[in-house]
Order: sequence, then C-alpha cells, then structure tokens
Amino acid sequence: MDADRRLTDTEADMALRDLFRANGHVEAPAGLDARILQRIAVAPKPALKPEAELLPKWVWWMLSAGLVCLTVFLLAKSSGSEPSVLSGYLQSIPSFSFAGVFSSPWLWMGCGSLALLLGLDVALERRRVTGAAVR
Amino acid sequence: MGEERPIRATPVNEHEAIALAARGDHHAFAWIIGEYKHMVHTASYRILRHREEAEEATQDTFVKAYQNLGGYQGGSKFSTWLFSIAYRTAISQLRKRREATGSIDDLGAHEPTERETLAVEAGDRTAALTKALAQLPEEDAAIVSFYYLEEMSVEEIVTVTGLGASNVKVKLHRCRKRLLEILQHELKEEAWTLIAD
Repeated sequence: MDADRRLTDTEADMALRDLFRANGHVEAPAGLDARILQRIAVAPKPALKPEAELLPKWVWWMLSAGLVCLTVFLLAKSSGSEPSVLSGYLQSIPSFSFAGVFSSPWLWMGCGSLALLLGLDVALERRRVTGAAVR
Repeated sequence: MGEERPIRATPVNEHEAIALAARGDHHAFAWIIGEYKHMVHTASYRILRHREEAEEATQDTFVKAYQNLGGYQGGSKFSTWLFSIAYRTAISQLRKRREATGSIDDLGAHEPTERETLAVEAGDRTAALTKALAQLPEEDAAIVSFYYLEEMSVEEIVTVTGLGASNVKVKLHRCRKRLLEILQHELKEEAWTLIAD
C-alpha cells in the first residue's frame, strides 16, 4: 500500500480499533481474584441504600397544605344559603351499589388470578435463587 | 426436615451477580471480578504505567465497588460505573505518586525499556502500541483505550472521566493523529497493513 496516502478518519478509527482489540489488553496478574476477595472478607459489608423517594417530603407537605386550603375554601363557600361549589361537585358523582360490585363473579375471578400469579412468581423466584446453583 | 442450606447461588448473569453481591455474597462478587479484572487492570495500567501500582489500583477499585454496590442504581451500564471508579482510583494514585516524588516530569515521560525497543524493532505491535500510548499523557491514554479497546461512546467516556463532551472529542481527535504518527514511525511499512488485515 502507498505509504504516502493519508488515512481517512474512519479508516484510522478502524485500524486503531483492530490494533487495540488484538494488542491492547493487559492481562491481570495471576491470583488477583484471591487477593481482592481476601481484602473484601475483612472489608465492611456493602451498605444498601434505600431507593430515592418518588416525590420529596416537602412536595407532599405542600400538596397536603393545598388540599386542606381547598377543602376549607369549599366548606366556607358552602355555608351560605346559595348552592355551593362543593355541593355541585358532590351531586355530579354517580352513585353505585357496592353490594352489586362485590357480588360480581368477574371481581372474584380477577382477585383469584392475581393471587395465583403472585404466588407462582414468588415460588419460582425462591426456586431459582436457592435451588438453581448452590454449589 | 433437612438442615436449611444458606442461600448462595452462582449468578447466571451480570444483573443477578450485582443483586447478590450487593447483599454481601462474595461468591457473586468473585464472578464480577472474573468478568472485569482484565478490563479494569488494563485501564489502571494505561494510567499508572506500572505493574504493581496498577494491581494495587485494580484491587482498590474492586473493594470500592463492593462497598458501594448498594449505590449502583442501574442508570448506566455496570461497566461504565466500574470504569469510573477505576479511572478515579488510578488518577488519584497517580497524583499521590507525583506529590510523593514532587515531580510533574513523569507526565507522559515513560522511557521505553530495552526490551520494548527491541520488540518494536522486531515489529511487535503490542510493544509498539504500548510505546505509543506511553507517549501520550496518562489521562489521554486511558481515554483512547476506553474508546478503541472498550468501544465506549463519547457519552460513556464523559460519564467515566467527568470531562466535557467537547473536551473528550478534541482529545480523541488529537490522540488519534498522534498515535498514527507514532505507529507509522515505529512500525514503518507494517503500519499500513493495519487496515488491510
């Protein structure tokens, strides 16, 4: 190949990637795993951090305060003789029979399926962790 | 009823190994070490350029990773998270060495050994690459290694090193040019066979 020809950026990247892949690794010394595990054996156990909250506490406080204010405002408005905003909202909620909902076979079949799937998931997970490869 | 056996499973994948190791399972962490020791050692060696120091940095990296596994949220690839620990550990060790020796002259001033020189003369590509990388600043040698060897994206290198994306791109561009110059000089005609292979 003509040594005077300049490589394009892509060709240079390919050439260097191939060179690094074939010759760029430095083997870790023998026994390194054991030495690390020895150090870990005397090191403190990893600290499990709780997952971050979805919303910070101050947001919950603000939302609660806002809800209280809204409730007080609506109650204050409803104390007058005219039909209030609150009573208007309450009237717009459709009424339904709880007895009818709980007597539906669909609800109980849904709950049964959920319990069955959750139980199956727990059983399979336990089997995978304990039984798969205790060596 | 038989005696209850302790829960100690051989992980079947990285995700499971991380979950088990985060609960203190040394067996699972040994699996992680086996998977990543060469990569972490390579990154440490590219920065420190000293076998014993690179091993020490590699050990420190894995101990830190073990102790902080609970903080790994899975937002980035595990390898990226591990490399960021390795990079910071090696850079910190390099700074300590410089402070101890009171010198900044060793920045990229790795003198090739006689064996390396002979190997390069014999057309040994590994030696030529090591020699070429030794002529780059340590941080840059690690960055090109991440890019070409570990095939990390610029975004991943930014995460690992904490440098800006434009800075990483500029460094990669300069290093590529410099590496090619050095390799062409060291390997002479053979350098041109690199792209023909």
